[in-house]
Amino acid sequence: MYKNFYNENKYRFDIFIIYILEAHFVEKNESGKIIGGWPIGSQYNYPQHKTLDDRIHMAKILENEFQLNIPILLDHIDNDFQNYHKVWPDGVIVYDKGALIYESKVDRNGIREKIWTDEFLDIFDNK
Amino acid sequence: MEFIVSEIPIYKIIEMLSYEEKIKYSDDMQEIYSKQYYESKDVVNKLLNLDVEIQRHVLETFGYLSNENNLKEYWKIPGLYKDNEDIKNSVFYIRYNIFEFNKMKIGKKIPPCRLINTENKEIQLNSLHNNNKPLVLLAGSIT
Repeated sequence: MYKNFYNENKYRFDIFIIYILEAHFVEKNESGKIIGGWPIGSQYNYPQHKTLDDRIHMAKILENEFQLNIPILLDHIDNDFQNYHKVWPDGVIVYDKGALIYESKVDRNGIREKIWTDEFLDIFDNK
Repeated sequence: MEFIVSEIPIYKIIEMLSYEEKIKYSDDMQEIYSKQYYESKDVVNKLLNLDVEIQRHVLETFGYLSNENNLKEYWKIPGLYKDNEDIKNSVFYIRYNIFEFNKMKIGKKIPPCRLINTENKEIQLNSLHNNNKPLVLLAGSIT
């Protein structure tokens, strides 16, 4: 989804992935019992980042597994990006001429009406 | 029975959330999540639908109707009690939920914000922004 957006728009916009805190992380005890996180099945089996090295490791897994070829940066381990933009578990933020022009939103029930990059393009191209 | 979150005592809310969490984290439910993940095209909304089905079941188990109004009331709990220590200490899916509805305002300037590249070098968010082109930031994680 983001791959297509990037390939179709990389000359119009500067586009980056910002790797933030894991969403569906899983914390387990020594016997493998789930003791924390937001698990949604065995496909995700990673604990939350405790160090910057953990975050870099996870970002590299993303790069290798999905071959997105989109420039990737990491949120600082103090979570500056998240703290300012409140994007967790994921989101899209757009600045133009130094000011925020788009931020993705999720309904209170978690439902997304539209793919955010499509929503942004609709707004941007029709302004 | 109608579920009005502001009228429910905290101990009852903790019981309901703990029950929801117990179902979510059960081996059976985790298997169902995985099945949906691998077999469904619209993964995000399918997984959210599973969450909603669990919440309907929780409402019914505690004697409430599982209709849309009651669900909407139930969804208010994390926002309403996100700073309540008793709830946070009892239910870890609330404790780890840092989702917020109050975000930045359109028109706000780029904040001072440290980022790291994959070579472990610190850079500032505003250094990415060339004023001739919009800067699109796709935030997320592999999970």
